[in-house]
Amino acid sequence: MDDIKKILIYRTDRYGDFLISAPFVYSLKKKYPKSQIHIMCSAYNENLIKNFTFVDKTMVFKDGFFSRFQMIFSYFNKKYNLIIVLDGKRRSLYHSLFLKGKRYCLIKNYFLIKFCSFFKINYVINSESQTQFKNIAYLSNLIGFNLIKNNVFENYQFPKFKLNLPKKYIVFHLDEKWFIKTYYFDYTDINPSTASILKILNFILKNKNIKIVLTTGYIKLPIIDFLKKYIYKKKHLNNNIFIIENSSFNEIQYIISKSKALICCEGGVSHVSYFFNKSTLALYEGDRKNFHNFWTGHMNKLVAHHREDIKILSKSNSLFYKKILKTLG
Amino acid sequence: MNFKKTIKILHIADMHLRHLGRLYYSFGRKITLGFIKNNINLLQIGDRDLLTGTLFNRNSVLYKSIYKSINNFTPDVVLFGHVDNLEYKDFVKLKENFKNTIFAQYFVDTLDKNFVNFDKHKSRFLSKSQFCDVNFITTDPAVLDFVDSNKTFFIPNPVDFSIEYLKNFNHTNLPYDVFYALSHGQHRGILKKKFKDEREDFLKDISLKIKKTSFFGLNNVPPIWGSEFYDQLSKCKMGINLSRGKPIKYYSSDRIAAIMGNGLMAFLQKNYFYEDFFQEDKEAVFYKSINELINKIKFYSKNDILRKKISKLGHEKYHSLFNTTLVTKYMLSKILDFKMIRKKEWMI
Repeated sequence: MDDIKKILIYRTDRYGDFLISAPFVYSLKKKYPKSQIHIMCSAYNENLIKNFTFVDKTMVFKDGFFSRFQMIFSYFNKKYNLIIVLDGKRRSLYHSLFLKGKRYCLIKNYFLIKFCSFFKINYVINSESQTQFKNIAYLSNLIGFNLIKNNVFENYQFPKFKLNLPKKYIVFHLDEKWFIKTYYFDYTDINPSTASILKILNFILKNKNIKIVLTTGYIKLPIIDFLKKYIYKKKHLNNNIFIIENSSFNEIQYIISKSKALICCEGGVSHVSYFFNKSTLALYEGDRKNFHNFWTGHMNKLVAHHREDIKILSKSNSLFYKKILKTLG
Repeated sequence: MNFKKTIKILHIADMHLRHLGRLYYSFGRKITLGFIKNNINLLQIGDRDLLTGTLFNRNSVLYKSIYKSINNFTPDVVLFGHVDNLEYKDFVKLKENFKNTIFAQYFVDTLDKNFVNFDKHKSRFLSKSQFCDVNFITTDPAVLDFVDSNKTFFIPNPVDFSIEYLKNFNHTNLPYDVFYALSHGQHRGILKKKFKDEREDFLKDISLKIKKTSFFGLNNVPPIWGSEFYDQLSKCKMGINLSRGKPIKYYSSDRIAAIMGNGLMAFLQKNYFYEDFFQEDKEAVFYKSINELINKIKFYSKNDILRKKISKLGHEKYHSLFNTTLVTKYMLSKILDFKMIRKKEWMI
């Protein structure tokens, strides 16, 4: 294993998925510093992933039958010392079979477990009975190295942003995940009104001497316009709440990196805050406790709260408000 | 130890029942003794004993037995000692079915990269480590790059006064100078016909230069087991601790427990870092080469007072550092996540 020169990792899903496996890639690079690490990623992630100094090359796993067929030809018989399928997807595993190299897969799917057992492909079951982080740590042990729990954003190359940020602030990330019409339909709809969001913001300002940076997601939400109208009218709010709209994920990462804490729905942003060691209050789907633990169980500074409970925002003494205070310290 | 509630442990390891008393001093049995001394409600499954006579579906039979035992006993902790008849997938299934149970394992074979069976040993250890909350090994985890050092801890080969009962340092006229027992696998019990252990030449060279040796398992002398092992041990002044493979920090075969625990003066190999626990030439004697070992055997066989003194101090130190009660208490502290008040040198 000491002569490892080229490594290919498949992580063709979302950015949060890549982030959870970023310590794996980081540790692999530390173990084999002379190796070239190539990441097969999705089109969404490429621009973010290539900023990590431990990634040498990114390649987009294309959509569409013909593009994939073409990809097989262009990669056919390419030689890697290690091929690691971290996303557990069939398409990635099948594609990897056309390449030469020692293969390891992190898989959940029952069919793929049978497939790998039959063809004697090294695999690790990505079981939800424990955190995904532990499963990835085990995969690293199987390959022959230990996971380094370090800040993977060390030496991350942020572009220069022109952002108007206060000195000391917390981030309130109000994205599409707060509304089921713009997110998964089987999630509990929080659907907060302008008044309830203002109530939370006021609660923070009243109890903690800290400014709030309100960030948004990719999708434009009508609530932001209502909030803006109201906040701009009130001097007290206008001086303490900074709304940053239409920001790229890279900008959001930067904003979180400079913040004191984060309030959000569980997802990519909470993974970012973990690596910057920020206190985080994340909302998650209550009936998916195991699923939630699978994704976030390793985050030591994360306070979780059921999405259902947030419906009772009117009660200022509710558990949600207590958790806000706990998160803000 | 007193816990607020009774702790229930299901200990699954080779209990050697099928060996009819031949291996009553096994590692698994000592661990059982230690837990009982710590007031643990312990249930044990001898995985290999259970499968004796089962030719087909062995893995499924074992899985079902463990599954039913966990259901009936509802242990707080399931502790695996090797259990190689279960497959990786079975451990995953157990973990998924019993999410609130703590799973732990101990592994006592060498994990030295240069060892001939390294890949096999590594995969046996790793097949359980993913879903074990805590792992115990007889090597320092810090020197291994494939174990999760946050949940893997060193444990020594334990001794128990009920098993290691001899006190050879009290006797002067012992018939043999030095003891060594070799085997080609403790389960097999007899020597393999065309197999040569790398230690044989080393031991043969010693027997050429030292007259009063008590060596078993080589030169057509069969290995010894059970009470006979203790009978032969009781006739010797000193014992050689010689492990297979290249030196690796803290690893030792359980031979060390038999030698030091029974009051024989121990010759320990250098580069295993046992100097961290035993003072050189006061509690144990260390050697690097065969010539050095031969010279030291000759020297101490003539200096009985010094031999008895070192044996006694080594015996006392071994029993105070590595006794079953302490080793299992340390294991409990890691499994149940509590702090040991009085830590010994080998504890993290």
